[in-house]
Amino acid sequence: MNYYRLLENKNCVITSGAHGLGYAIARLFAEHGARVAICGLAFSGRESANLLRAISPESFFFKCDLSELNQVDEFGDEVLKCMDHVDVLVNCVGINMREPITEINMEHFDTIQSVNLKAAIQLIGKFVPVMIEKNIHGSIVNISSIHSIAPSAVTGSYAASKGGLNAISRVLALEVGQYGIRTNTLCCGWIATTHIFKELNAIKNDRKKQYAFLEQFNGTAPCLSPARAEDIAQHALFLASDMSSYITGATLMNDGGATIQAHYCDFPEPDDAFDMRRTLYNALLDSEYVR
Amino acid sequence: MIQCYNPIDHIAIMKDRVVLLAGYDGTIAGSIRTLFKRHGATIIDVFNEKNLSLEMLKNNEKIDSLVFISHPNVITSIEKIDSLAANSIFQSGCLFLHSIVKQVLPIMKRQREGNIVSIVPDYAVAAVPGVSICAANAAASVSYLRAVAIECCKFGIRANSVLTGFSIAENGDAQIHQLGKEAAEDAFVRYQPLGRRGSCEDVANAALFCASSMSNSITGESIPVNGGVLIVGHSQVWQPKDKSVFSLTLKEQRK
Repeated sequence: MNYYRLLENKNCVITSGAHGLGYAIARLFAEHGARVAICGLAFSGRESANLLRAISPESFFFKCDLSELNQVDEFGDEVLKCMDHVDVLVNCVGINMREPITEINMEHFDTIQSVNLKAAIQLIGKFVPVMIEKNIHGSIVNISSIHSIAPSAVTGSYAASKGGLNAISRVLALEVGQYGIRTNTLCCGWIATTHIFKELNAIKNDRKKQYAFLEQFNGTAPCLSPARAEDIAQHALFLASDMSSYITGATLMNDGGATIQAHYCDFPEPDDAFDMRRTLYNALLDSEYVR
Repeated sequence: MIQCYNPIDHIAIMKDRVVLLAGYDGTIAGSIRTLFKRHGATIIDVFNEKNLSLEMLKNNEKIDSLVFISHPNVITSIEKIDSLAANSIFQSGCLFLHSIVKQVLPIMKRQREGNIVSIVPDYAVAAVPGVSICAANAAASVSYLRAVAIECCKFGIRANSVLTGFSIAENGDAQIHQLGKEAAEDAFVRYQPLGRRGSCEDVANAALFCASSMSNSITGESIPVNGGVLIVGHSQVWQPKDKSVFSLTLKEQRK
């Protein structure tokens, strides 16, 4: 195994890879030698694809509304036309609408299921048969959420879609393991994603306000600082590459220990925790994904 | 100095890292040693409690990672395990892990960085007949590391477990010895979705992931390296011979 280029010459598809977490994954994969196809609605998609092409020349962006089944279908066809087959599929998209279950608008619910769950199933249906036909020992990485395991109030539609994604991933592992195809789920805790980046960007000239914004989330996980998009990307790289060639059907948490707490317990912090937290916040705020 | 979020150098992911390798010195330990050295780590072997002295640790100004490997199975029924044998399993397992963790934690806390990886069989989280005390010991190690993760995460210390499948290394050899080569290989294929025997290198790669900055924001987690055996439910054990037994359409079911 070449640890310098873990995805050398692999064809990778990352949904919603134009910005935020998806882009961080796409970029790391490209740096490891992959040809990357990204899709999404973002206007920044072509710009992201240009940046990716500087690293991996055959990468491309396809504008696609993942809530529309025909557009997802078109995206799948386009990928197979350009890439012949897919080695790695990362279902990275996630939209959320905060509504109490008793007040869920069923249109919102359907849109969330379409984007978070149905699009993933549709793309799996598009790419996995080709993997089997061409004897590709591919990997599918489903980016899920802590809400699928340990939900919070008013996230019913989102938690249902991500819980569904976890289950689909395990069933798929049973169905395609015999062909050497692996499928795993990565559940993110609170991470600095596109939405958070936009909030931080809006107050980019005031570092104190940015600190205060991040401090709001202090205590949601035992670790001092939230994960960065780059950290999740490293985890996705591990699951996509041969480093995890004997791992399938796993639901792995990347949440800074948030789900291992039995109950709230305020354990003493080290004396310099404040400084350590600031160091981590600065690293996060100076990330290119925030700017 | 805390080291988080630095760009990861995949050329030598463990460069200048000091790794304490402890527990059972079998084929998994061999693979981990080879892989970590290839990635630039300095390895200190502690395979016997007699090797472990505070003096030895004091001489090392830093310890970046501790990788602890659990002993292989002792397959026997519950009635046949006497308390002496049970005690010995815990002594060489969870209690040995605790004695090492207790000594490396002050060093890691001082560094404000470090990670601990425990390699245990996956029957720590799912029942298997014949390994009762070994399973209890493995489960204790996993729970123990979760407590370490919670207690020490604010010092920049992470703790994770790697759960190994029944076909890997000495445990897989024991299956072959017990069932015969053909029957054991049949079991490896039938009960693991990936349909093959796992290797020590598979475990070493997961240990490398846990011990390196690739897993920066993961703590208290258990990573199953077992070909998906834990997700196999009743479906793999019970398969209808006649697939047409389920023939009702959606419309018919809704009547």
